[in-house]
Amino acid sequence: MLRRLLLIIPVFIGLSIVTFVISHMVPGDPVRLAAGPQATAEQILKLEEEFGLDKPLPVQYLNYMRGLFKGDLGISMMNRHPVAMDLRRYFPATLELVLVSTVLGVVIGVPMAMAAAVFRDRWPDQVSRIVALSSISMPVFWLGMILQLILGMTWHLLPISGRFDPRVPFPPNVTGMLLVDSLLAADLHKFGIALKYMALPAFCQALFGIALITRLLRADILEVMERDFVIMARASGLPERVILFKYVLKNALIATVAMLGFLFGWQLSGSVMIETVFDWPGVGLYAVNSAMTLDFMPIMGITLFVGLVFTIVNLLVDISYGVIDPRIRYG
Amino acid sequence: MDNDLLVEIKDLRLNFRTFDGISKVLNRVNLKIWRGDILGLVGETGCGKTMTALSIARLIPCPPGEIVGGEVFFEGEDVIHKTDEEMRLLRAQKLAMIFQDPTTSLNPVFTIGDQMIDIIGSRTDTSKASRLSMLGGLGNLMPAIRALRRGARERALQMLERVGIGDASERIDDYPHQFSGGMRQRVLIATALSGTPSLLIADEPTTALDVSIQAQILRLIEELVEELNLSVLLITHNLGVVARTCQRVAVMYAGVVVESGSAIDVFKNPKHPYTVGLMRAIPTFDTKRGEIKGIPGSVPNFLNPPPGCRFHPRCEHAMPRCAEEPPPAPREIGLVHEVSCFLYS
Amino acid sequence: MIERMSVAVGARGWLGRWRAENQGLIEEWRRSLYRFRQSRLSVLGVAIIIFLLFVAFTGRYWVPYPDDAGFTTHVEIRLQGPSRDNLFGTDEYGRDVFTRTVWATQTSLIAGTLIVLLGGSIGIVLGGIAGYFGGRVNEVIMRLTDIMLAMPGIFLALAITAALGPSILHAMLALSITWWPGYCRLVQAQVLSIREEDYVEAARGIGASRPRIIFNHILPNCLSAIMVKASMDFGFAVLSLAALGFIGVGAQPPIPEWGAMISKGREFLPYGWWYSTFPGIAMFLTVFGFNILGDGFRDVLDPRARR
Repeated sequence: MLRRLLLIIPVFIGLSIVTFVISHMVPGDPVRLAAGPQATAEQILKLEEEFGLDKPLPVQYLNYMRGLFKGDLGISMMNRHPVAMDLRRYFPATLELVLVSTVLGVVIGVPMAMAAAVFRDRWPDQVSRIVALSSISMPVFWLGMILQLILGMTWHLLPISGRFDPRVPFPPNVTGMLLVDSLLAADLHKFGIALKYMALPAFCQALFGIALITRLLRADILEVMERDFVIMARASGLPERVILFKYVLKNALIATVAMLGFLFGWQLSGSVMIETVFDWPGVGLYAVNSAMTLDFMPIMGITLFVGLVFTIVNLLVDISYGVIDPRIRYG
Repeated sequence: MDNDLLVEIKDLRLNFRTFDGISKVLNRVNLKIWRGDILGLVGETGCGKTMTALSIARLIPCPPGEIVGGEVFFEGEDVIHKTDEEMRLLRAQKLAMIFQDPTTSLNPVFTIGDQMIDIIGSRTDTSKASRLSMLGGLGNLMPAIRALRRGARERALQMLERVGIGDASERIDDYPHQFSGGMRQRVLIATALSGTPSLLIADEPTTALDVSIQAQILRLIEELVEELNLSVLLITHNLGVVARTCQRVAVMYAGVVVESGSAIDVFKNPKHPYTVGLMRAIPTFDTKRGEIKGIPGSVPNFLNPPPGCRFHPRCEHAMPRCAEEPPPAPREIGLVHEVSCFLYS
Repeated sequence: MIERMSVAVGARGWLGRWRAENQGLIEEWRRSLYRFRQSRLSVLGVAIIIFLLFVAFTGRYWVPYPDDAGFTTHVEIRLQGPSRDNLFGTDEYGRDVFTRTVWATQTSLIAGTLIVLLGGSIGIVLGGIAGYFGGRVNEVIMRLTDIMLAMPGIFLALAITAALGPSILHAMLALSITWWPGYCRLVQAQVLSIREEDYVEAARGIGASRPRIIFNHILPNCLSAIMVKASMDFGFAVLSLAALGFIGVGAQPPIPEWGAMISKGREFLPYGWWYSTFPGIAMFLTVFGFNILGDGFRDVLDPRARR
């Protein structure tokens, strides 16, 4: 365990080197882009100095890492905000989206997987297989657009983009996540608004999770059902529903938990596109904008941050795996 | 139906659908188990012993299995046509089963206490049993369930102590992987015999255990059988265990019971050529070097078994009839001693 | 077919010898094929893919307006809905969306193949080396893999593509770079476990040379896992490329590419619905077909998921 924790450090350093190298491979001139077409030569020079771009690369790297330890991720060249500040603003939005879609994925995926396993090879199984395959095959940004078109523009059922009604103030900021904050403020009206805006993006995000959980959990359930202790339980006279919902499910879910880390990573990737389509002010949108403007400070900061979050989540998943499975806990 | 006859299997035929074709696993099995009987079911690995036992409890998954003929009676009642619910109650209340591998027979993610309480608690009606199991510890919030759980836990502790697990009250909350192989088998025995079953089916209960533990476990089973006045179907390929523990023995080959009778009779006076070969193959103290006689040939393929009697290709007394007609129904040739062979019809 | 081939090559030739040595493997493959054919869905997948391959390779010969795949403009018919002349409507330059969608099929299929091929090759080789030699080499390679896997691929691909400059080639390269760690890990784990198996010991014991061990014994057993992964990956590769195109760092105009087309079509919603819809359907169909195939492969080759 400790070894895992310690391993994060070199991985992180490696990641920072990789992203540093990448973002400084930029062929275009970010400084010129930031300064604008009207800039004079000395203005550009001043800008370079300001961003420490006049120093040799290794020095720049060291400066960057030094700043990292202080929590300073540099300044964005485009909007002059500290990257750390922008990240703090954007991350809760993405986190909220990812959490809701993961929950949706589990809530819909688990029953589907169970139905598919119990009615194996009959129509619920076939249907769930087709649904799962379609969900994975669907270009998520395209689906988002289609849904925007039909549900938003044509039928006016749900809002097309954004995170909240622009005319309504946010609930008081506790976590930065609107659903949570509005509940904390006991403001059901705002909660409803946040929910409405989240519906489409979360649904699009959730599809992959639903598909993954349905297929993998189904396979795990089927595998567990073949095991000896299931036959033993049946031979001892346990009711079939106890066998399925208690004995089989817990074993199968353990295997599925391991997959949550992967799912999280996927959701993060998906957020890039979903946020673009729905104008959701999160890390994904921030990343896209930074990439398009060659703003390499945010690119680095986001990459490192996302990498860190992902690694931590994977670590948490590993830990919880150890907690849930008694064989590991009481080894 | 004879009141003392606990189990009667008549002409049971069981097929299994596999990828390569249909495997004819049981080919007219005839078996009787009386009350108070200790019947050993012997045969080579793969001859259908376990399938026969599972058929009594109707635990064969169908599909891919399929009962294509014959009847199974338990306490005089037709097992094949019972409802699922009736079978569940039968298994919970009247049958006790112990399987071969104690390592895999217990659910690794629940404590043995939890599992024992579940099983002891399942001897009542399904909805109560379900609630008891599903709610687990939370069930203690409901008075009816709490009483059930408490009773079950006491019974579990009682049985654990009976099978020789010392600090039962502490170990009951341990997980299966925290027990050794022998202890796990004891737990399984405790669980199986915690009710009031009429029949104990033990499928090779000692095969997966260390030799030193085997004797202990066997002795434990014998004690309990006598205490609880159980009838037993003991499946094994170890003739030594049969000789020691069983009153009667049935010999199976390739999905058929070829001979059955009292253990002494069958061992001393084997009639069926297969049994004869089996007995001959056992080395005794007098066997001289190089004298071990096996049975020529090998076990038939269940997908395409030889026609007629499945043993005829290896039988030194084979007659033309043996290849054409299926072997005859068991015929009594002595007190309780039955053979299914053309030599004796 | 194998029989016919071996007769042609000569039963004593290399193929004949391989056949004799690998009876078991061949039997297994034959069974797998049988099982595969049983599933209606898998057959559908194969049908879709054959259709797609046909469209991709022959498309440029029968599309109605082959020039529209480039920079031509027909301003007078811009942004028209689906009609008899333009099955899928026209884009903002008056180009035929149907032509461009079909054209994009070839682009995407080739790109997807290259991404998986390149990423896969690097990953397999590295993973094989890591797993086989173990020790320090293994540690180094796996650390590198960990670094690459510490981040969801899109971010890295985005960064790389943005850094190199938006272009479909750069996008493909970036995606290959994010793809190889998956294969590396897979192969490393497989090789590591197979290496310890008895039959490899036996081969080493009778003096088989290293390359022979690797190629004849270890690799074939990794093959099924690799194949399952590759078939599932293909769909994702196509999707990822389209995603990058959607964002704007992938294929640049005038190259027809589904993601880029869908992105452009956004500007004309809700009026010009055909612009984004049809390329999306085409993409969905493609990925769906490959995913069915991958699923079928997995059903057939992975004993755990066997029905």
